[in-house]
Amino acid sequence: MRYQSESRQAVWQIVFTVIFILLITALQTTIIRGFEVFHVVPNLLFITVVCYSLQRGNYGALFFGFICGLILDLLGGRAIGINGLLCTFAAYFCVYISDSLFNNNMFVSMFFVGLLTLVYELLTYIFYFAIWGHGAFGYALLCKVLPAAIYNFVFTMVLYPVIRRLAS
Amino acid sequence: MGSRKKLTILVLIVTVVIFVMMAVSFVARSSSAPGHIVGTVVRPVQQFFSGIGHGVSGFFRFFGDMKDYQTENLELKDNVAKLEEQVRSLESYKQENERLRQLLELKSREAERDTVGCEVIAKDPGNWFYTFTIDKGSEADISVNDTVIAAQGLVGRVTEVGLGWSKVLSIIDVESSVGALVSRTQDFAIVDGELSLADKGLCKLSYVTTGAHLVVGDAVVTSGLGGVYPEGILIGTVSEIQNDSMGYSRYALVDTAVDFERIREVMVIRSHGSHS
Repeated sequence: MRYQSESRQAVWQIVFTVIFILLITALQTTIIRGFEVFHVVPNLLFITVVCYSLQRGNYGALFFGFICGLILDLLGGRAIGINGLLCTFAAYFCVYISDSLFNNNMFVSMFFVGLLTLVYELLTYIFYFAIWGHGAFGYALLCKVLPAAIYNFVFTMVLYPVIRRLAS
Repeated sequence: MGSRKKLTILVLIVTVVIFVMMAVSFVARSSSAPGHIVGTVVRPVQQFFSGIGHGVSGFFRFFGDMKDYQTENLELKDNVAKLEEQVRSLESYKQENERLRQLLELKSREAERDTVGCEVIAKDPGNWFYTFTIDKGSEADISVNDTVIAAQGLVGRVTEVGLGWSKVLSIIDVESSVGALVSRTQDFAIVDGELSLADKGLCKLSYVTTGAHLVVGDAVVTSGLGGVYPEGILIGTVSEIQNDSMGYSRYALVDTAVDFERIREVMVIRSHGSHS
């Protein structure tokens, strides 16, 4: 009986997670453009990956990161893999440190979202632009990477309560 | 085996899987089946949110004004709200009417070309690229490399086609390169997207002929060379002329005719697969 109840709960959690990913994906490509500040929008999927992984701290988070990264790749229409890889590593990092965190609250999530967004956006720039000779590093850092990190840091406050419920 | 060790092994496996996928997608130059599935599943939700997204600014403005209304008479508040809503709605209809009128005029201009009108339903999820999704795909006989235009001028080209959706690469994207012609001087050049210019709606006009006498305001149109874009479509106007860092060659900045931030309706010039 208890086993049935737990498995039913697990199924519902998977269903809610899939619906949540679908919703976040749709928002990321539509309404979120309305929140554009200095030509930068928050990356809801990446924020979700980091917060979810910090909350879950298990293999499920890794899979979650992998799926969200792949969705970013597929929606972007570029070669598949870069976002998949970056999101998986971000999830791995978060799962790895989640055990060591003394206090796992919203501010900790905000800090790691900001920090990992910096790394994520810098690597995105390197993979898609720098190695193909597009240059403009100063512009990329000041007008894309840093604003994106700050924006994701702030936007975590909006998503954190929902993700916390989803991951629990 | 420790939990962290298991986790590391799992990450390594996932990494290998991703590298295989990267290699496959790089060879295929398309996201193929998985991309089509995600595109088709997400499209209805995107269409729904796209409609809401267009009015999101007005929605927040409405809530911002609520505080002021509280200090006013209740009846007056209702009237003002209704009238404002009406004005906003009429303004939106007026703008839509204007855009559709322009598109109709364009349609008659482009009568000899086989075109189909489409609506922009989604934009690139990130901050680096300038691609967007339109609401028509293979069912409307749109194919890869079809030219996309708006009432004002050239928008880009189709890069991926699915059932009920297509992805469009804007001319301001770094991956875009368009064969161009300066209308007044008939000089050939190339219009490229640049990372640092894209947000300002600018492109770089490079490979300008040495003796070309460009002036600010010169219209730049597609040359038709390269086989992707038909000739004579307005790209934009020259806004600045500069020398490169070595001083050997010149390039110009082109202010694109299309406002990519506010683009909502476009037209696809169908080639019926003759590009691919």
